[in-house]
Amino acid sequence: MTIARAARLFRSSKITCEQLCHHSYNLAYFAENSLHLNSYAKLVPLEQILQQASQSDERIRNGNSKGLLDGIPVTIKANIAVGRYWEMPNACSAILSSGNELEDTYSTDEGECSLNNQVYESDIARRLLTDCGAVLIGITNMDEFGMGSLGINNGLQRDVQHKRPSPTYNPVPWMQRLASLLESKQYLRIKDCENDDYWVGKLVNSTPGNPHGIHDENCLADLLEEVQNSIRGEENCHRTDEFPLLSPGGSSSGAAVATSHGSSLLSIGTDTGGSLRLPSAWTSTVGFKPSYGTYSRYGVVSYVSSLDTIGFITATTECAEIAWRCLGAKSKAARADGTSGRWNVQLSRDSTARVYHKDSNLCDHNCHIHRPLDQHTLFVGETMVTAEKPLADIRVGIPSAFSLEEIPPIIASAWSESARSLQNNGGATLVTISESELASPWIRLALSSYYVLACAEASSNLSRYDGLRFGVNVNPDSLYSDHDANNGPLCDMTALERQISANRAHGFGGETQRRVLAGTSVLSSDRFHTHYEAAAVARANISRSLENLFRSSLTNDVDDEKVDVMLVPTALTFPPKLNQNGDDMQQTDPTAAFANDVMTIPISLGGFPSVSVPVNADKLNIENGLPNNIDLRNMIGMQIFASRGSDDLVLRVANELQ
Amino acid sequence: MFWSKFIVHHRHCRRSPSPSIIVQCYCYCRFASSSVSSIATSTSPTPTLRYDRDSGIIFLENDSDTSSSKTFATPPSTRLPLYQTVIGIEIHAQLMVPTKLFSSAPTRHRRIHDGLNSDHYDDGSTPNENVHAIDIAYPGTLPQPISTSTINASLLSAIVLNCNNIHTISRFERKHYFYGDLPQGYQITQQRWPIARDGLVVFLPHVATRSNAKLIVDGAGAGEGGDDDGVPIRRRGMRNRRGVQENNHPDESDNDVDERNCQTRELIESLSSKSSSTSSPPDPVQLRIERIQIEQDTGRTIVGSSSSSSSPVSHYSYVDHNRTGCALIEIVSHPDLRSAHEAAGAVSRIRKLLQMANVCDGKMEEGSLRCDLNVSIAPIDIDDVIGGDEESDRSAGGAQNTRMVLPPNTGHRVEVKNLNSIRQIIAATEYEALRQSKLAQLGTPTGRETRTLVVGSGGMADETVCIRAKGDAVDYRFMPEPDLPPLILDEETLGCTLDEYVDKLRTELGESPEDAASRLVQDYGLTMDVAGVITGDTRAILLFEETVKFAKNEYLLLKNCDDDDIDGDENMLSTLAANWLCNDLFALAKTSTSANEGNIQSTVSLLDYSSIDGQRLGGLIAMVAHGSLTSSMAKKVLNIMFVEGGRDHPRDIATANGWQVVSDKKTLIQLCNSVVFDPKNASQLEQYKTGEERKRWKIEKYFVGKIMAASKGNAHPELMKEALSTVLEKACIDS
Repeated sequence: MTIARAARLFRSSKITCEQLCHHSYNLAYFAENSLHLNSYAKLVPLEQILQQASQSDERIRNGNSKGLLDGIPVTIKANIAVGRYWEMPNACSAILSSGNELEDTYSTDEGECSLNNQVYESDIARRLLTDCGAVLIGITNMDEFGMGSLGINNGLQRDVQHKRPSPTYNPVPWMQRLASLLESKQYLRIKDCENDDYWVGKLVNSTPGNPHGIHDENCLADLLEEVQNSIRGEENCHRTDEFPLLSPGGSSSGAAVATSHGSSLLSIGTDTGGSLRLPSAWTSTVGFKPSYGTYSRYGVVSYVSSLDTIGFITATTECAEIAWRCLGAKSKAARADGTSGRWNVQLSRDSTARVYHKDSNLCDHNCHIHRPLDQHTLFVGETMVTAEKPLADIRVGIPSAFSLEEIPPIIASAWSESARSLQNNGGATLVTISESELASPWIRLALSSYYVLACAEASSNLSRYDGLRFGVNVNPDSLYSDHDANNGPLCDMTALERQISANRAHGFGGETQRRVLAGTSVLSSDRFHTHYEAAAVARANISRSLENLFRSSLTNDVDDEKVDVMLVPTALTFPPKLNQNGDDMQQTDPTAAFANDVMTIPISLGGFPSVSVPVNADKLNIENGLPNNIDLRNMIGMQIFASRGSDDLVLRVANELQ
Repeated sequence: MFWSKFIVHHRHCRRSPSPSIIVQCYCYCRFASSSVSSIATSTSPTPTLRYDRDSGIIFLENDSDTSSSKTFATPPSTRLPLYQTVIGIEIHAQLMVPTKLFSSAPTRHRRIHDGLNSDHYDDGSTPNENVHAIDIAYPGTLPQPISTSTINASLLSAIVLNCNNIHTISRFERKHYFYGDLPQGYQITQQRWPIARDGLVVFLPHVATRSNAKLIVDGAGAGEGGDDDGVPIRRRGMRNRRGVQENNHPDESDNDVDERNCQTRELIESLSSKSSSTSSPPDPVQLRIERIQIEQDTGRTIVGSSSSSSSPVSHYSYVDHNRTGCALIEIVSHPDLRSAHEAAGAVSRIRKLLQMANVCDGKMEEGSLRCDLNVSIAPIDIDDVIGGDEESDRSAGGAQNTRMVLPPNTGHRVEVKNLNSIRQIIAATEYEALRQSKLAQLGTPTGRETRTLVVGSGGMADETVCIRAKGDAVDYRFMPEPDLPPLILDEETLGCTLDEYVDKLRTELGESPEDAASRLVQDYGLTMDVAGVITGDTRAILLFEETVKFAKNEYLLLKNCDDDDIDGDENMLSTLAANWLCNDLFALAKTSTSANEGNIQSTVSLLDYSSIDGQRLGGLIAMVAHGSLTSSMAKKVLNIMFVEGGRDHPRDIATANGWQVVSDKKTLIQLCNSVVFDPKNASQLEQYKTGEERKRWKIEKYFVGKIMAASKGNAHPELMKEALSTVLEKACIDS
């Protein structure tokens, strides 16, 4: 199911929003309770979903729909405030809003505060749910504060005994198994080529126990038992030698899983160093990170303020394009009024929003490629008429600097196949960017500068969780023995310092503590110049050298050296296997997971728009030369990125790639 | 509403571990004899360290005359200058803007901006009432763009502090530390890229209060508590400023030093006498401002009582977030100050300047303006002193130059935080001067420390206590603020260039006190001293000019003549107005302030306590000038006007009380006749007629008293005497 198809079916009255949202709820329920994917931090109660959906139905019936997203089931990442449904993505559960109250109140141990009786909601959630009329299915799970690439640092279920929380699991192996039980031997997500009646039938017969409509109940029961055994970690429980517990990637793990499994047609998430693109590559979905500052970050829990970008994960590039245009309509208007990046009282609640949109013409330049929104999307799939060579004017750069020696052969061949596909099918011009124009050491340097900057800003942004207002408040005396309290660093502390350190030591997960400590270290006066400033310089250099490779749309120069977009793989790795405790089975060093982001981080540092598209394994001539029988070809993503503000162009090229 | 409660250790109760210091008196410190014997040498009287607040010099002197420590009667031979204090200040001033720096929450200044009466403004707003989610660092909130009023207030501060560099681009940074009153865990401030740099303040050092000093008489005293006199500053300040610009080689004056081998004793004598002669008015001093930065205020911590005896924690503190996130400017000075009275004078002056620009209400006791001092001591090299004799003499032109460089071997600076009054500034400097000198004498000079002033109570003197020593200095981990773009002030954001914008603000600011003073001298023929007193008060200038205007009108009516006819009287009227304003009205206001609050340091204007306007005061002046009220009557009328308020004309008040000068000749003669020819006084009249000269004079005095009593004190004294002599002469002739 795609957004376009759903919108078309709503308007032709073949299905209602209520039916679709109920189906989404069933899928989400199945994912959580039968497949144990842990993709949701919180599921919205069914009656509230249906109430929202029926309002959408009424609007569509009366012809005053709020747009293509009206009635579409969506999810939002846990670090984005969504009024009363919001739960914090961390152990700082003391500020959990209680879902039943109309006011957004929070309490500390000692009292509570009402924020002027207004529900605290992020700008993006308001835009999506209130302005566009989408129906919220749930809040998706994530790595604590967005720290992690594997979805295993989920802080939500941490209890007092320090029991490890359950990780979020990749749905793709289970989806492959489920598909084998279906008559239509097709994957459920990216191939939306079944006819409408197939989907209508599916929606009507959906139940929470069997939303996929599998006829053979015994097979389903067997599969679910296998899931149970895997989760429990029992040996030799698998029917085949496949290993089904894989990481979905992070930190927007739940967002990717929900989209991949089908319960959400549009999952809003955040991307800091690759948090949307990596999980989307590993779950065979489309992950889109717009230019930094496109959407207001107001109401989004800050991790790395200078990199955090709101984006989304969808099943197809077409869905991404619809979401981009629906959510961005207003911000585009604001962008054109010349308030770019300057102090202005009338600017949005996020002072850094639209900082990089210096040339508003840039957007207009690329806008003409679109057909009118309704035409474009409503009849897609039936009357899709595309030009012979839609990318004839586009120059696609293949930067050799990104071709690191660690790249597995299968990903290398996927990369070249994708490039060839853009050239042959789209008519794009391929330009190889040599080492001399963009040196590979910069790409490696990007990773380390990212972690210096990210940890520094994280340690700063997280210092508000001291347990006095936010964060857990524990009794330090219960945490430390008398011996501890009277020896070592504790005895030099004042009562307040001891309280705060107890709260933070208890409240933050391991990865968070590591990053906060690392960040504190690089900001200290003796390391600020050697680490933080060096990283900032490296960042500026990377950003500038990438920016210089792009053709400026303003001058329209026909410089042969310059390109419009660049194509690189999203990840150089495949999802690691997880055990039932959520440990990465192959890695023991927590910093090793950093390497998963090596291809996404240089792009994040520059604030460039980037979209990760799953490689179409059938279309491409790639051999599955890997063990385990899991079709890894479905876990490869290709990234298209371009200069800041060229979001439309990125989506347009991505559409061809898919 | 909520309280954020947290535990604090009784940090302030930890006394510094230096028990050998015994503070005996507010102004000097005595060595404990055992530890000091080494430097006390063989002189039998106990040597004492004494701090001179005017010169900033710490003397070692023999305490031969313990009873009169204040007098400088001690033989000069026993006074040895040891150290010079070197002081820099940091002032945190809360801007009077309606909203907080980065959120839309109202501040306590909101009411003023809404046009509500500021007289009745009430700071007792409920705790945590003016709080936005941003202020308490609610996760996901981001700072909102800074408001225009904050920009304007910051620029105005830079203007009044004469900043040479106001930056088109300034940036915000985060300063990290954990405390209960800092919800974000960091303060958004400006560090490396402040909004303005390189300012200059010229001020008069504080002058110790003499209770009976009259304002007019003692112009240099210029009001208690260092309300500095702006007038001489301007004149002399010009010269000083030139001194700064020429001062590229501040060492030159030191290089001139001759190795004059003059008698150390003589020198010390001259130094002592100089420093002790406090009667001459001090000369203006200039203080360089390093930078002005915009930053957030913290919450207000309220110390709660201990919850229960069994509780393991000492007590809880509570935080009121109404102040959290309010806009502050921090003014950082160079260490150009050399004494406690200079520090006090500089703070008073800056406070006044900010008040005049309407940037900060300057209420130190409410924390609207807080001051941190950086105090260190430099050893006084006798040789240097010989060569640079004029160094101690601030009036010398070269004096300013030597301030620009830190004296050699200046010790570690000690920061004394959060001083809330001029008195505390003086007390803290003095305490630090003596404490540091003492430690230096012992060979264990102080390290870099942060201290706080504990105000003495129950007969205990004030003292500073250590809150952070060098070892556990806080690393603030400054980091560029990633949530805020740079603050750019250019055509795009201001609508005109920054220079044009600053000029516009400067014009709106109106005349400076200095300009106003010279105008008053020019236009009204006042003396500089008087003009200085008037312009030293924000509201007095306007009141004075209105008073003169109304006084002139009424005077014309009383005299029943034209404008031209009273040409010569105009100066008389303005002098009268100035005297009545500065002496009588200020005195009344001051009594009422001290009755109300006991602290006049922080009021914006003394006249805030008075409801008397120019019309009523002018009426009074006219009546005095015309002679229809004697000055003692006028004082009574003024008192009534001040106490009762209202809108009654002084003439009506006088009439209602029967205070009416009788100056009509006929009436006076009638009055005299009735008394002189009163049968009761027949014997006196007879004695007058017959008596000799001496007797006559006595009788005349008797009649004056009787007539005055008969007129209930209303008779015009001189005219009445004239009338009496006429009557008596006539009586003699008639008989």
